[in-house]
Amino acid sequence: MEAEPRQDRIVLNVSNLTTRFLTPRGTVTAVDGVSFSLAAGETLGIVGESGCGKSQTLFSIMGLLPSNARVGGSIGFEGQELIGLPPGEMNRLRGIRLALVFQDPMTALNPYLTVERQLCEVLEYHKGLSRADARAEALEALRRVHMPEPERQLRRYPHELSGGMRQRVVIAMAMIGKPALLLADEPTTALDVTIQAEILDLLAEQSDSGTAIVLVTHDLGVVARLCDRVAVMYAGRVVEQGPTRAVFHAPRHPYTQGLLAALPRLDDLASAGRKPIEGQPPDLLALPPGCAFSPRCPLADGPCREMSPELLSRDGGCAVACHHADGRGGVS
Amino acid sequence: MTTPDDLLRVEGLSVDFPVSGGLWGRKRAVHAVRDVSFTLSAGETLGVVGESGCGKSTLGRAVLNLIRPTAGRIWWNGSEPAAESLERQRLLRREMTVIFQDPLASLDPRMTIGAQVGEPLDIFEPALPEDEKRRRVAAVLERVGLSADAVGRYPHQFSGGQCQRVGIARALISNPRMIVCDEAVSALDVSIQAQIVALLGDLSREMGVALLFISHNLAVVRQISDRVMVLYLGKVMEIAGRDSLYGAPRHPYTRALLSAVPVPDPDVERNRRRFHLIGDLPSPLDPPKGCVFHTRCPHAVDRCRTEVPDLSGLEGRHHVACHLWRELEFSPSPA
Repeated sequence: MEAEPRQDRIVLNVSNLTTRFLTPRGTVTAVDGVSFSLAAGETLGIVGESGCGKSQTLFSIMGLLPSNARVGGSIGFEGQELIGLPPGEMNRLRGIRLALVFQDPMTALNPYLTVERQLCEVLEYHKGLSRADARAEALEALRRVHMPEPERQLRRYPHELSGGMRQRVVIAMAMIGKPALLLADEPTTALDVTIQAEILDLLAEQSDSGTAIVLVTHDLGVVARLCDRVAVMYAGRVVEQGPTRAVFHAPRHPYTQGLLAALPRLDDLASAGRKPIEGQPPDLLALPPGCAFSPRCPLADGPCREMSPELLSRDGGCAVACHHADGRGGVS
Repeated sequence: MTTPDDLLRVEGLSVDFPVSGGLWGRKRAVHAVRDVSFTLSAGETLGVVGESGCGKSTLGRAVLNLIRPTAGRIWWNGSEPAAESLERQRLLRREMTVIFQDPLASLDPRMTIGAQVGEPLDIFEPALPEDEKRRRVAAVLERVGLSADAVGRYPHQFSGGQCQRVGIARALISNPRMIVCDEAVSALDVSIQAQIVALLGDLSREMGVALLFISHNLAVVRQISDRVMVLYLGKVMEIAGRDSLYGAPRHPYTRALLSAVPVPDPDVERNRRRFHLIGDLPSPLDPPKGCVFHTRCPHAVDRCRTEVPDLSGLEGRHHVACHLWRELEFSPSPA
């Protein structure tokens, strides 16, 4: 596993991404200076709790934000800047080079269309294929996601499929244009664990075939299973970022440490005594000065309450935003 | 048979939900819970796990006497609530309370926290003087970790974790002997989830409240439970002490379930042996004959397709419903 993605195969380069929402109660900075890059075949996990900005980061890349959103920074995708791209050009990328998988497959599927129509629509729109050719490709796409009895599934409507099957259709739909980048927002959260395991295997196969994946999840187990690198977000900012092994085995940010210590684990007999992170999640409209995690942080002192720590590179390919994280040992 | 230790005893419980329609208006039924038996002692925590549609929430509701079982009997503290007068059944509700999944939806947005937490006292102890009621509400709010000024505030002023603390306070104020926790921490973020699980564990230990802890999250159930029951399509697959079930699962379904949960450790994850299941969950309208799990079980033989396995007892209090558990290779740990 490499610490940094190989420069020659970079698919996505996000730099200082900032997404603000203008609301009647004030401006909410949902994503605050997020930077990362991703090479072909690489999987990046973005983790964090509700409201940390992980999903908004995805929607910003995808250009799917409501009209009160203001996006700043840069999103380079295959050498093209996505911020400010005219809607028509964005539409040409979406569904072909750039694909999205949502948490709830039912919201991504049109209940009035058969599986065949939903799959073929993409091909007819983007590639101008004939009905027969599109159908053949749709069938092949269903086979690639290991759909049982693919011919029969083509004729069915979304409500006739189970949750796991629907998510397979959504992934087949996302992958049908052989995208360079797949963005997945909690793709297995709505599924039962035995089905989740199958869908995670399926995502791993897509990444093996060269697609870069950004996976947003609240489940650190899913990250450990699937992701080469991980970014941990809190209150709109990345607080720690690096190779998955390094971050999980030697977390340096107190929030990452707290999350891993709070998480009950199946494989740990001593899991009875997990340690919660005290305090409440942050209110994005009333963030404290300095480090947003400081009110809940056991290490917080003067500087933490005054100055927001920068995300600085440390050894081992990790970057940490904490006044207390030194170069190697980390905080403890 | 009821032993003095058993607070709750469930025997052969089945719950069907009739479904109208179908071709020619045929009468059909969803078999949500089928022939489930278990006991719960005072102060004990029994985890109930399983995937969607396994009947775990229906089981909780039947135990709370909120829905009528199709068959089977439920004893509470030696008597059968279903056979009691309505008035007596109503009074039993102070002894068995419930915490729901969605903390905000289970609170009334137009009532103050103090009024909602105190409401059970209005019902069960209407003669209680106002200042005594206020004192009890303040005490229970403090116990669940909320400050005294919460009394006059409204649910929308609190975060999800705090609302769940309010829900726990309301479940606690009548001094119950059992709380049914139906996915009580599933809607909460990890850091807050751990706070609430720790709180429930403390309450159970200190106050001797028994918990029926229903959840799809196997890791959380492991953390809080003394014993664990695994349900599949309404039937008990395995029931055992916590360490026995997680350390030495015997049923192929339990093993598949445990091996499917991703563990937050990249090294463990990449070297794990998984037990894969075949296909999707069958419809509870038309559950498979024989062992309900046979359509997805990698080990199924002819006998599994025709004959329903009984729950057979292993050493200790470990029971498993599988024809093959003796023959299957024993694997001590899911990880």
